[in-house]
Amino acid sequence: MSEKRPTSEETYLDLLNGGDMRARMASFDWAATPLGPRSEWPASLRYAVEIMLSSRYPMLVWWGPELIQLYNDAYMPVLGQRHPWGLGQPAAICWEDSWPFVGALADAVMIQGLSTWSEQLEMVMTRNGFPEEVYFTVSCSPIRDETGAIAGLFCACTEETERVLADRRLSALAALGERTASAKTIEDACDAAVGVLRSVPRDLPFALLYRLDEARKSARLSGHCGFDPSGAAAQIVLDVGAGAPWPFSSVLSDGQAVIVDELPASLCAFHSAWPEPTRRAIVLPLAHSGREGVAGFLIAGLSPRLVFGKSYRTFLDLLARQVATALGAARACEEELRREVAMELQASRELQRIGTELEPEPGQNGLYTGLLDATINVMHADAASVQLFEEDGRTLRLLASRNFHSDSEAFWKYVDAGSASACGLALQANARIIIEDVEAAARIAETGDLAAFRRSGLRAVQSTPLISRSGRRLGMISTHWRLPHRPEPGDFPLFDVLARQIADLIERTRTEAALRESEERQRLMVELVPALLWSVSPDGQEISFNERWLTFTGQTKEEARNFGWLRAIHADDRPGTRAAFEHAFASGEPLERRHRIHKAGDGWRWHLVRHVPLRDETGAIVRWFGAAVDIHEGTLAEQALREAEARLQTLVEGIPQLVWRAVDDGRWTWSSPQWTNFTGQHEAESLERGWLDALHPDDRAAAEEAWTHAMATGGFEVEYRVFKASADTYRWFQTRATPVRNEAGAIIEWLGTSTDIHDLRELQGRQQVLVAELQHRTRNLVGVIQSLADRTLRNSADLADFQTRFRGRLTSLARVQGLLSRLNDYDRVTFDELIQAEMDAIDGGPDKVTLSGPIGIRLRSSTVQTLAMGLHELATNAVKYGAIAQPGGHLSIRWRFDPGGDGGKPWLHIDWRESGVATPPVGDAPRGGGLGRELIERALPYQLSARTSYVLGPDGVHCTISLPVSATAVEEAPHA
Amino acid sequence: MPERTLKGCHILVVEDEYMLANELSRELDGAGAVVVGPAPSVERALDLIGTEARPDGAILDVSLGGERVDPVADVLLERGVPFLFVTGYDSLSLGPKFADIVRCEKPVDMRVVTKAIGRIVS
Repeated sequence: MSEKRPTSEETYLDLLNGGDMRARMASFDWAATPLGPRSEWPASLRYAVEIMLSSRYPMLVWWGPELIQLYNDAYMPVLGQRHPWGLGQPAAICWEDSWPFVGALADAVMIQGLSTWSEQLEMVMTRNGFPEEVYFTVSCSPIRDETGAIAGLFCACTEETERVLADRRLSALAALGERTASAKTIEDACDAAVGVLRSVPRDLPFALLYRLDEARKSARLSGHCGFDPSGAAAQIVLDVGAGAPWPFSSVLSDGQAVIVDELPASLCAFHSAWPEPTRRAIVLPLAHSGREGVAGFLIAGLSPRLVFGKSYRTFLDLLARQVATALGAARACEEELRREVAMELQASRELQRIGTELEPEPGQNGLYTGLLDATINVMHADAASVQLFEEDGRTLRLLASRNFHSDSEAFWKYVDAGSASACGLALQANARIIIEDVEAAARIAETGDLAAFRRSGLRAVQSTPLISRSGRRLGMISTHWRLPHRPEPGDFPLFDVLARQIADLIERTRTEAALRESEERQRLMVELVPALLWSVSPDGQEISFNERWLTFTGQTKEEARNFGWLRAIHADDRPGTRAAFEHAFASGEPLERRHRIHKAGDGWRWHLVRHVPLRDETGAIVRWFGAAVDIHEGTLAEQALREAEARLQTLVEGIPQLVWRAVDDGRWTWSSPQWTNFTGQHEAESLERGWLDALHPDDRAAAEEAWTHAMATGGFEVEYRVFKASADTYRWFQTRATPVRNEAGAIIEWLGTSTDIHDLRELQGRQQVLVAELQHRTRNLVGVIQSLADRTLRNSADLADFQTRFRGRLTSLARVQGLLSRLNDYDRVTFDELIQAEMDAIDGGPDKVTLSGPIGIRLRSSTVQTLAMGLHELATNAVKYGAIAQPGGHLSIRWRFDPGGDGGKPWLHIDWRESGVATPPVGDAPRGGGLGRELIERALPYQLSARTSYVLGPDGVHCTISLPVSATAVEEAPHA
Repeated sequence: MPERTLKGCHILVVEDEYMLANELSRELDGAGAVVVGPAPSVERALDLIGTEARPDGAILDVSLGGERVDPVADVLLERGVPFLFVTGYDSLSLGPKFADIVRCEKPVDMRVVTKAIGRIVS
């Protein structure tokens, strides 16, 4: 059997042309395969093959452990380009690309012996030279050999690709119709259409929707999917000419779709359902519904995994037609809307015309009469009336009527829901009521209404409620005919528009009346308020002032216009005011500021100015309103107060004291920058009792104690140490606080200052020490003098002798005191000063005395007096009896400094040598009472830890004194 | 009588000013006392207390060339040796433990001191 399988796809036909599997199998060299020569095949295989070859369903047999493949004519398209190579091949090799799935299927059959049924299996097949999206329903069953063992697999397939694709495409088309149906605008329709196109990425890897402009010169992108819109090919507006990236011009001229075979690489890089790039697209025309020509283009990418055959093409054509229809419907919708708007516009013009005509006639009745005429005109009626609700909301009052008999007019002056008239019924129903013939209406029979109708010669009527745009029921509008009449639905649109306009008019009139009333009230208020008032257009250009402004400033309205009012503002305030107003107008923010306004014949007065926008319900500024209130006196006082405060602040922050404020028993409310700078506390930390933390812990109790008395005594004074952050130490402060009292005399707060008395305290301390020291020294000195006097007295021959000796000693002591008293803490008397002073006093002369030694050897203060006394005694003796007294005598005083003397301390060595002196015989009583020698030999060692020697040699006195001195830098320059 | 009471008494004299120490020693000597020292410094005074026989009394200058005599006073208090202070300071605080100690202000009349020491020694 070599039946050709009819198919719609050309490629199938190509394949089928050469196929005849029975012949092919007969001529196949089976001996070369694991199956062996066909004559030796087992009966089960031969039987299966026979069934297969004679079937028109695609079938195959896999046999043996290698699953050698055998198939029929109908299976050839499934194999595609694998035919005829696939015959006699092991299945795993033939189906290598889908073996993971197919192999598992084979295992289920061959090993487990199951029969399988898989519906609409999606597979990838490269039968046409490219990976193709295909669907099969597959049934497999095991074939057993004579022993009953499973030897092969029998597979019958039905290709479902077309059915699956058709289903998919059909539902897309259905969705397209459904979703675009409700679109009212073209834009909505495009969005809806693209939404559907996006849902079938396997058929439409991408899609672009372009609409032609009216001139058909350019196309505008109205929607896209699966496409990078930044690319050149998807520009929002494309010229339709030859330069366009798409063959628009060709589609336009022929009205036929054009396939673009090789998309440039730049257009291929889309997100797609498949890894392969989309290389082809089709540009489909979108027909103009109800018109000739093309309304736009649908550019559809073609799936790289589908054969672009007839069904695919048909789908795309239908798609394009559906989109075109949706766009057409939407366009019609838009046009309809436009028509409605146009009608409303027409009605509104009509009203305007009526309004203009009636303008000169005051009152509203004329206006309503005109409106009713327009209504009669529109409805081709003979009479009309308009009624308004009374305040009770139930009764209608006749506002105006046309062509009513005056009796009817009077009868219908008031109508309620009980009335048998059309308007009464409409009132009940709250809807339009039409009575074609009042004579035929049962409800009207034998009522006063019928009489009223007859009186006016009216047979037909319609009544329509007037509803304002805000939904409020305002009244009723009715038209009447002399003959029985049924208005057509087409008669009402224009009438309804008119009715709405009338409703608007009524509402506006009412609002205006209310507004006029309130405006009048407002105007009165405005003139009553003692303020300068104005209102400005949102841009600040048009401004109107109240009378008060004009009389206050003396400006005329013309002068104040166009920011001219700024001239009434003080020159110093003007730039700021101008900037503030400009900012307000630009930002819409309310303004508040103070400036001076010139009062005609008076001068500048401070005003508080507020300027706020009035907004409508959308938030847009309708107008600005402003007011200026005279605050001159208050401002001056405030200014003075501010200045005083500023001065005080400057003072408070300028003084070196730490200043603070407190309430109650020491709860601080403020601390000056000095306090925070000094203590390192933040102001907040110092408040309440926080300041205590900056005090020395030992002083806190005293500080708190002082506060406990403060309220009672009205004074606060205490000394405590405050932490100085910069030096990380405490310093003494004297703190005082003064109470601030209210008029009743009660203490409302405390002002305190803390003064640094640390240095003072230290000075005082040092002074105390110094005074005590001075006392000590003075008393000792007096003691010494006392003892010297006694001593001198004991060794004096007479009073004259006493006087000479005592005076010398006292003078020497005074000299030493002089040297000592001019010293400060760190100075020391130097030895050269001491000896020089003593030598100067005796007036020895340079030929008699030689002084030699370094200057600047600093003597310990405690040693100076005794040393000086010793030297004085030596010198006195020299003057009286020794080197200076005798003609050939010479006194040499040498000294040296030994920085590393006894005990590693600095020592001074003094060498007193007299020469050329005739000395008295040894054994004589010491001259001068021996005090000099005693002082050298005993007092200096006793008092100064000095080491001394005193020798009265044949040539004169030789005396050495060594004593510890202050550590000192000795100037090496010799003293001479 | 003070002369009698001081006779043979060992009196420690601590005074840095030689002239004053000398004068005081002369006075005590004249009153029949045995002068221990005089000592010009705390160190020397403590030496004497350590090496000599326990004095019967002591006269202490408060300030010895800049150092306080307190350590000597402490030892004497501890040993129950009566003593008095001689001081050039007006109101220099000597601390509560010396509150009961007699104080003679300089310049002293040596006989007054001698009498005072006589009183406290007895």
